[in-house]
Amino acid sequence: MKDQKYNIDEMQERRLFQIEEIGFWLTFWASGAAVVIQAVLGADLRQIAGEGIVLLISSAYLVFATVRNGIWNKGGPAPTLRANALVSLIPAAACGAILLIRVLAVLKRPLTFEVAVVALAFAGVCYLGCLGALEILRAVYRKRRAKLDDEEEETA
Amino acid sequence: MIPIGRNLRIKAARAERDMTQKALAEAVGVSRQTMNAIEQGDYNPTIRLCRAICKVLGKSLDELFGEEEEHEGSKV
Repeated sequence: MKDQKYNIDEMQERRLFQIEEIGFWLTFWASGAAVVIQAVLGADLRQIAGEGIVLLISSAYLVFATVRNGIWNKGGPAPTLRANALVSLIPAAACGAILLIRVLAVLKRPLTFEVAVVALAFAGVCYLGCLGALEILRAVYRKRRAKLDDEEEETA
Repeated sequence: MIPIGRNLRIKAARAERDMTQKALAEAVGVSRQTMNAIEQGDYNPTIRLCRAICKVLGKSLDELFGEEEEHEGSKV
């Protein structure tokens, strides 16, 4: 059936959604990569603020829209504490590594016990922050999902 | 998702009515590429479009889109 508003039919609309989805994720991960690369190369916060804001807005929208619709993910790990604990290791390791690279390469400081401890502590804080955020989202998601699943059937 | 095979029944029903793919596509309000994709089993249409195709071809949903024992040219 042709969409009167856009002059495309349902298959074209579905294909368009797929194209837009790929386009969105390309932009999202490219922005993420740009932030990481600039951070590693020694850019300050002001220099990465643009991409950072774009990523924050996109992420906030994704989180809000998916949780509101009772969706956790497409095909990734199930929403469990164990999965969240494992997934949180990725951003924590990335944050620790970025800090370490910046300290060693940009500030040209040698790797000392203190530097390693600071990087590890930073990674730990990131880990706890990520895990905490994911657990809060999981609780909200479960509540929302239960509400959507419990909605009464319409009676004629 | 269950893979969909080629839908030769639409083609046969079209032939019965001497209709081209383009004419059927125009009658139900989709593009020819969409109608071709449906017949080739590359696109699974919505129930709304299925019903429109059935109406134009004078067939029931079961006759055109009902499950078969074996799909014709199934891509399983």
